[in-house]
Amino acid sequence: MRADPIADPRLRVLAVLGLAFSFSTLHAPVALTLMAGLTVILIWWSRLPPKRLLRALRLPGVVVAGLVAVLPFTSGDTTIASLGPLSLRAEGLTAAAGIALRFVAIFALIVVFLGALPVSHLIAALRGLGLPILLVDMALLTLRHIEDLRHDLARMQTAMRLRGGRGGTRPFARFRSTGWLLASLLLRSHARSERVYHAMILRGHGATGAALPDRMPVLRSDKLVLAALFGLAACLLAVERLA
Amino acid sequence: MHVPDGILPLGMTLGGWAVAAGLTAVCLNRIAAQPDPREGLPRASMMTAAFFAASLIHIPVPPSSVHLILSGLMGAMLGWYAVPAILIGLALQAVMFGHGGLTTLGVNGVILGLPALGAFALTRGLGHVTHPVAAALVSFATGAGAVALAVTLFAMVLLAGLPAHLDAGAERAAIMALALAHLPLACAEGLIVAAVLGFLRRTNPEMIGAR
Repeated sequence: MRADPIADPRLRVLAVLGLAFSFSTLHAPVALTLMAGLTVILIWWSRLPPKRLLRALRLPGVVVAGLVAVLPFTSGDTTIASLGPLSLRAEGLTAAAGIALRFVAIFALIVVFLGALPVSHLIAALRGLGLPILLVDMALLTLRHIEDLRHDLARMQTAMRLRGGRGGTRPFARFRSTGWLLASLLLRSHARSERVYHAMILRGHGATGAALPDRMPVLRSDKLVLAALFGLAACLLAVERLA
Repeated sequence: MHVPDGILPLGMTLGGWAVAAGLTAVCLNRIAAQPDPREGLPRASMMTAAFFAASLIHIPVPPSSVHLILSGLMGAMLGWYAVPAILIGLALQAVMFGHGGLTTLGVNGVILGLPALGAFALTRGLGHVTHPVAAALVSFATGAGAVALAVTLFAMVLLAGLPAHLDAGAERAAIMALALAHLPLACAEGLIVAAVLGFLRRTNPEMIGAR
């Protein structure tokens, strides 16, 4: 059973942004160590299973892993070891370790604070924080269309394969058939998105004078946790400055 | 082509957020000046969902396969709605899949948003071309040019933001490798965008008329 450090989605967004930006400034080994410690405490507090975190990290981690693997051999002047024609350099190794630590810590923050939050609640929280209504509507409608679009795409790709429509042997024909598939998908989805949006308007969405949702009061405990987290972030920045 | 969290310094990430916020504000102002600002919302949200799902469309480019980026197509079809749509798509990808990043959301929005606006300008400037071959060439340039510009911005941001300085030779080699690796993607996306816009021009031309 997960335990969320902060209940209010608006404060969760503020917490993750504040901590993520402060983490991204850290380079000193002592500050990075403290950052890793704070991240572990937050993971423990939220009772997030480490296996789930590792599973979520698998795909986005590939991009960073590529960079982290290259930097120690291409960056810096101080050679600490030679591996055949490659020389392992201290500056590159330090930079790569910092990148990997910061990436994992910020990724863990996102999973801890926003991972269990339904995306529609997150969008409502962003609205509460002042996101323009046009962007909120666009995000909610996008959310509505993502699954439909994926489902349609899979069905149309299967239908195309069953018809033998793999593009033939003519040069560029494969690109053309993919383009036509995408265009057909957009045409269908466009008609549906117009229908959905007009139905929403008919039901009163965005009408002048429509009832506004009640503003949820912020819990005192949430405010205290947010203040404590911002205090810790400020301490990390001070350690970085002094190191 | 997303810069992950943890790589760029604070100045660049905050700068990216500031530029992205500025671009979004300009776009929202332009949208608000339209007779019905909500008219383009369904198309924009549908294209955002397509941008989100673009990673599912794999294009075989030997020896591997690549996935579409679609920022050029979004610019051509959405106009001023393209930048807000791209930012929403990136934010959803970051929160739902961890693809990209939160601190780098602004930078990634600029990397893909500026090419989309370039594609919009190209489509608006040369959209009146009626000759089929010329129209196909403009569409190809819209798709391929957007990818090329995005790759250039991505390489510049990454090399400028790395914490340790690469030597000049390594820097040039990295830029060349990145450009060469994405050249097939730019050509593939150009051909596909040309096919998409050609199809829509024949069947539903009002879908391309971005304002």
